[in-house]
Amino acid sequence: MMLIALIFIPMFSAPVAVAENAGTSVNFDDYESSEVYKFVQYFSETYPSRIAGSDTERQAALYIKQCFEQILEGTDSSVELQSAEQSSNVVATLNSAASNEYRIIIGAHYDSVLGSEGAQDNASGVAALLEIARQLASYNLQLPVDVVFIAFGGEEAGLIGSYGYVGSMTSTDVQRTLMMINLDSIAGGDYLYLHCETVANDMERFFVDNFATYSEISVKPYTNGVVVFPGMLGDYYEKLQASDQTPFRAMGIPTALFISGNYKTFSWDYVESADESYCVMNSNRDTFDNLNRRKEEFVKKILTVSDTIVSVIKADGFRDMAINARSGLVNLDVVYSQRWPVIARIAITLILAFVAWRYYRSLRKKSYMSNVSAGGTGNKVFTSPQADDVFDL
Amino acid sequence: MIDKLRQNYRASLWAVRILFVVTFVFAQWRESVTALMLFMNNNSIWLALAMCALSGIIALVLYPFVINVLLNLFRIYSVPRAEYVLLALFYASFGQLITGALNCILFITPVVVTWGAILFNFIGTTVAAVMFYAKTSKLYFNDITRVYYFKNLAIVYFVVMILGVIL
Repeated sequence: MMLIALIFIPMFSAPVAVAENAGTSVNFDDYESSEVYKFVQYFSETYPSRIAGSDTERQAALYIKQCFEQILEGTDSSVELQSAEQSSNVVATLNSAASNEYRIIIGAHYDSVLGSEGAQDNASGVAALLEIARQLASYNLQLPVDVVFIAFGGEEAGLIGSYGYVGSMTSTDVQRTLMMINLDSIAGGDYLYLHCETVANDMERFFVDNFATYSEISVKPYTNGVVVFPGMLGDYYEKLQASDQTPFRAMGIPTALFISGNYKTFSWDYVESADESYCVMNSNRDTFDNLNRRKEEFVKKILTVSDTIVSVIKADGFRDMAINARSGLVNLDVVYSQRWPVIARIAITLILAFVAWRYYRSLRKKSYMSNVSAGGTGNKVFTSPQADDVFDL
Repeated sequence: MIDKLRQNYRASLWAVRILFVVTFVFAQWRESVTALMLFMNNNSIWLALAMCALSGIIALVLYPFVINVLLNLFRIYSVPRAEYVLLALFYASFGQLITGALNCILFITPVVVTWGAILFNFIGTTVAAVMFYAKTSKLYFNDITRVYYFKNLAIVYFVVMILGVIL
């Protein structure tokens, strides 16, 4: 396995032609020779069932680490494997030569569910992550911020990797992290979507202005499972999706999520595709062969995401926009954390318990008085259904 | 309305059973759609509604059983069981109707998704429980015995609420 990996890495790290501003220039007639195509095929078929804590997941992490080391060789960077409970994250940091004051995090989970090759979910995201690293590696002298690439483990088992990483962040780390961009299942769905912070910052507009155009991207607020009527409550309708960006958002870090899917089939909810054969997420049908039925479309989606992110980072004013997004972030904790409604529910229950207790005392008194007036002994209230308490036996 | 229900037991029973399943689907269909998508990768709303209705029928079967167990546990033998179950189903349907109606708010604004998922069912259950107690305590209990009935009903209610928070 390792031998195959060592043979493959140089192939994968072969340079791709770079277009003028961002990105990759790929001849989509020959999409099978693209780096992202080769990575998704190799990674998903070589490391299937990358479930949290398994040997396969660990080997997959080592492989991704080698890929990062290869890509970032010769740059001011570091690559390390960080453990998170039974899983582990691959963390690659590309340092800016200009300023190390701030950083952004770009992440994608590399694990899968049992029995799945995880080609769509989420070899596609990791392929984009590596593509971004490759493009930025030659740009790091001009990077406006440090860029941290994280391949998260254990996402499918409950965001183990991302929660583990956030848990290991110091308060300084949190303060200097301006943004987290998550890439999850970006190639197999019908359409590409960007879920993004929309309140009190121009983060969404910044992304839209820099969209790559191989595939169309639609912007969606953080909603899931509901119909959105713009304008209600001042367009304040973000909802976090349960993926690796969630722990970061909970820490007050602005997030963006790229995901492919379809919000048109059900206006109230997300599905991967109108065609059921493409609805493969978290199933053993999530294979490279199934993803490859999309042909060049899946490669286009991956490159659209990677080129968009590279364009955004390179664009003028990115650092200021990110600082503004960070400082202007509306605290959604009260709205979206389950903690507060649970506390409210407990509080209401306690109030009800108090009211019930008062009512119970009045009932006891009434029961006592009625017992006396009915000719009872009057020395106790009715507290159990003994016949002689009710009837004069 | 309750008095009319009590006058024709057989017709009322079927009417209440149908009402129970319909309101169950009304209150729970969104969860059913989501569960079907998450666990079976299936998009069919009709299948989701059918699954939801099936769950409602299972609940319909379990309710009388649970009520009888509780009445035996608390040694309350003075109520006519069949009619008591009928009233329980009726008020449970009413609670589900409230929950379903509150869930409609989610279509106006998703801001309340998280709060709604946790509080709407709680509100529906609480209102139904209070109304159920108010009616049955008047029908089947007097000033002397009501205190015992209230105590046990309150215990059941708060145990259910605590389990709701824990689970």
